[in-house]
Amino acid sequence: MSTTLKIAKYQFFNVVRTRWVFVVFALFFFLTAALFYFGESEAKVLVSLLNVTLIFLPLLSVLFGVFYVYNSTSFIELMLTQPIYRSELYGGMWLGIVTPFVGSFVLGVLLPFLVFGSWAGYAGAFGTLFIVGTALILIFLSLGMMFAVFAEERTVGMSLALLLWLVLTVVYDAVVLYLATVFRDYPLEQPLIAAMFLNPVDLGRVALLLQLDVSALMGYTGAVFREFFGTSLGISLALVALLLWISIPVFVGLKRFTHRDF
Amino acid sequence: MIQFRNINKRYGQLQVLKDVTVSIETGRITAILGPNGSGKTTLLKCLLGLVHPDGGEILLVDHRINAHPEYRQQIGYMPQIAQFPEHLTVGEIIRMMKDIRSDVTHYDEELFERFHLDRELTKKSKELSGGTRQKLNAYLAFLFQPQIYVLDEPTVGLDPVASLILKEKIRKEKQQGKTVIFTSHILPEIAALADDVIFLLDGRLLFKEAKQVLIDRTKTKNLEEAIAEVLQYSGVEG
Repeated sequence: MSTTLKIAKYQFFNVVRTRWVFVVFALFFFLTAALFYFGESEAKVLVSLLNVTLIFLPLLSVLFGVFYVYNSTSFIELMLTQPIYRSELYGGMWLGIVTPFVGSFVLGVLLPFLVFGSWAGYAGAFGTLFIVGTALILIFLSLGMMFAVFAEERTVGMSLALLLWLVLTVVYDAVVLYLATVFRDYPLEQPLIAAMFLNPVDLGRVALLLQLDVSALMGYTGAVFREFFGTSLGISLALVALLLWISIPVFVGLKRFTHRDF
Repeated sequence: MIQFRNINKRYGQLQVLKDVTVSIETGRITAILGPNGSGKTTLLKCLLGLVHPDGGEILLVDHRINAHPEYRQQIGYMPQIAQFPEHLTVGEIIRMMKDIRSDVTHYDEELFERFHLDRELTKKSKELSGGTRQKLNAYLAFLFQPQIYVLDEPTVGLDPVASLILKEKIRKEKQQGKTVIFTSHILPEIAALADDVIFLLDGRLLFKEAKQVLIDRTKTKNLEEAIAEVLQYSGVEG
């Protein structure tokens, strides 16, 4: 087993026992179970889950990423005095943090769905929910770790993380809406699609809404989006955008981690 | 032999190490002392690869240390404060370290027995007292039988018995030809353990001398008086 995987294994044991991972699992498990229990249809369950996935999952992930790295500072120092590469430690920590979070999200949704729900007609939508949720966890945990590696002050790292979460979940949409109103006389479909790619939360929202009938409510814009995401080019571009959103913070954080002083 | 050559390190406005050139002999116990903020820990961190010096080089048995981590197989490090992943048990932490150091097959379990760590194996690291954590920390530094020990204030936080055990262990390792570097503020401890003394002041090397030479040269009775004497002559109080 490589050093990275060995580190990941023990980090996994540590992270999986934290309250955070339990909170993610409990939140999704009880919410999904409750929604089904109260007789909601699969589509309504998905829409409710969508909002929790798009708002809370990024918040929990980015905060945990920051917290975890700060709390591990002296452990990181100890590990770096061992004959291992810094990239092996960073990679191991990343894997060990990410897997319990993804696992508890996926299981939290999947278990109640297997009991109460039905796949018929919704496999694509649930698949999209899993992909979007997983991508958001990876993106925001990586961003959180990156902030903690850059800012030596805990409060600075924390503030940056919260700020970014606020911008991507709330402020960004407000600005886009404002601009869309100001420039409403111009054809905006393409700029809007471009704007979406710059925000993983928006990308996730649109990808998921298009899987559901509610996209009919979005009118002409919805039709444009549907046309775009209906093509394999559109889906590929969306996946590439998500992968970039994951790999850039991982790479930037790793780069800083290998060069900084401890 | 470990040679520090013209080591400089600056954190922002603060020059922590100023052109430090000093060597540490193999098979001897070298104490690094100096007031708080004099650069002791930073110098050790340069050797461990945790801090990248702005200038200068460090030679470990004639090899310049670089970004490749292999040289650290020869070093066992005991940090001032140890924090382990808080939900891992002591047993898991020990297993993790052994897993990562798969290059080593023969372990030094002496401190495990003498510190009675077997009683703590199933405890989570966050449930450990500061002293027990420090015992675990010391045990891990000696576990892989390195050639060089780097100990940052090793006896701080240990109870008198554990502290005695650790000092015995350090002397024993020296008799086996190992090199020990440690920092401390406790002069009697340095007097009892060290062969050589390095004194850092404001990031500069004030002197490096064999303990006995220092005492003879200053015509004093013991290390405490000798150091007080030297500090007076270099115009430093306390």
